Amino acid sequence: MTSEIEVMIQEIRRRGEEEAGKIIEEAKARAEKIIEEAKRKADVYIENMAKQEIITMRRRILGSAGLEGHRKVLMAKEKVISAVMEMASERLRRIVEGKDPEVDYRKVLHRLISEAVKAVGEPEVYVYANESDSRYIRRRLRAISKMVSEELEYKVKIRLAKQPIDCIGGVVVSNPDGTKTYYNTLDGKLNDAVRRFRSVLGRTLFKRVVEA
Amino acid sequence: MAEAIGRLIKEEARIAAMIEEAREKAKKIVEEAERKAREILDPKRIEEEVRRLVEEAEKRIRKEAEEIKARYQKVAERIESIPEEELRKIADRIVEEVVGS
Repeated sequence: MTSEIEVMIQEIRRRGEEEAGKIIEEAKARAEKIIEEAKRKADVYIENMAKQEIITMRRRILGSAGLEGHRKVLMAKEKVISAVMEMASERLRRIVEGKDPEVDYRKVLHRLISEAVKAVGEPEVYVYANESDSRYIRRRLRAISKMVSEELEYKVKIRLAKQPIDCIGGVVVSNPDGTKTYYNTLDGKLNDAVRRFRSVLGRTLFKRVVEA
Repeated sequence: MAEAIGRLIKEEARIAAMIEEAREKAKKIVEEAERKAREILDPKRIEEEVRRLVEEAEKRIRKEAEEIKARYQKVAERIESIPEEELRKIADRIVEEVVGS
């Protein structure tokens, strides 16, 4: 009988310990679940809040860096184009002053006058030129009128405007009432040529340098 | 016999106390976990964590921005260092177009 009681006591003890252990384990598992769930929720909040802020900040900072960098590249390109334009202007000045052996400026001037008179298309025109070209045109006015008339195959009376204009060379031609004007100055032609060359420079020289 | 039953009752009482103690302990474990969860979800802590993440990201983004600027700067320097001779050739082509020769 004593040993039966002993067995019962052992069994009660075993079951009791087992139950106590189970209670603790279940509590631990529940605690872990509570903490994991809180962490998950917190991560979602944090990610949602930080993500939006970071996206906005990234767009702002990188956008501004890109713009600044792009502006620097544009400025460098403009610097190069200005240098090219300055070189071209310098050479045109030498040509106009007759210091360039490769180009006869008088022929160029004659052609510019002829083109402009043809474009205005009237029998009487006024020619505007810079001081030096005006002096030359004044001296050769009759010959120029004759030459242009022959070229255009109708008689043109060319008059020289009293006031010289400020330009490297070339002419501006108007009809007497000023309703038709054709600009054929070297400055204007230089600007047009540089404008055309901009795209060529972009496609060739700058592209090559950027990709180097 | 009476002694044996007495031992049995005593043991049962001891086990019942042990289980009660385990329940108390379990309650404390869960309460502690709930306290920790409240701490984790505390708006101030979340705000602080967001700020820390944003600051870390800002450092990375600023570094990236510097790299972008440096890349553009390099391109600008390469453009500005195009040899004068090359530019002069272009200027001459432009002049030829202007004077029509």
